[in-house]
Amino acid sequence: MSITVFFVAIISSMLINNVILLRFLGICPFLGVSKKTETAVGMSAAVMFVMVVASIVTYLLYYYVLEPNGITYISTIAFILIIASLVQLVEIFLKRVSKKLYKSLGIYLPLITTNCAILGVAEIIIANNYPSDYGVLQGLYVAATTAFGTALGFALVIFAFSSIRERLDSADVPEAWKGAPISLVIAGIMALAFLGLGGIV
Amino acid sequence: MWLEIGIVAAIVVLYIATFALNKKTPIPEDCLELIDEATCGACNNYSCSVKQDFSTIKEDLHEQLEIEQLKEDN
Repeated sequence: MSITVFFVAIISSMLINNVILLRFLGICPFLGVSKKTETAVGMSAAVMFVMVVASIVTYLLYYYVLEPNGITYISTIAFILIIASLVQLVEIFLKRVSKKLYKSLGIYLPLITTNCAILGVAEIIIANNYPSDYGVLQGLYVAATTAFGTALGFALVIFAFSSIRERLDSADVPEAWKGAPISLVIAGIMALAFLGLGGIV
Repeated sequence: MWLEIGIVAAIVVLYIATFALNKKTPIPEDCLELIDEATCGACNNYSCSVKQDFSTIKEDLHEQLEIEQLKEDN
């Protein structure tokens, strides 16, 4: 397997099929935690960590437990519970082992349980059916890379959006456009800009 | 049929166990204030009186700009 596969996986999941602006997943944290750059960075780091780990675990569960037993139809409910459990485990780990990391990521972890981007990426990876092209084990590497690229795309967009919103606080916005309306207009313009990246890979 | 129920039940038990374990694990003392700040910062209620008003932020920024301009003029 060449390095191009990983490069394409990262670029396509980060820019061309951006999870927020083109797939419309994870809109809640995109609007809710993007008021300050600081919180946006914290949320992005937590999402990055959980998205990669959750994708690996759900991939293994699907191809080693659900598919061999012919019970793939319970994948969504199994993935939801696995992601929720994983978030709890990560939180326990951070509380006990790394207080410093908990200080920066811990407060955003409970929010990730309800982040549909995590479940969406797990489902997209399964839908892409990597084992048919690369085999189950090598497909896992591509899946993890795709999850990482998606998380990078999430971080990129939420950071850019939070920077714009911070500047908006000092801008002279008409009263009726203050808050959510102007934010949604900006999100729309950003989505149009990302649409222009389609067809690169 | 029983396999599906068994797998889902196992994952539910896993979730309940991790949730209970997480609840039992104490939050590090120096992180308690951060939780309140994050809860407030992530809230979307624009009419909340607890949150700092946008106009105050604007006024502060304008004041800072004026001070900087005065410094430059001097």
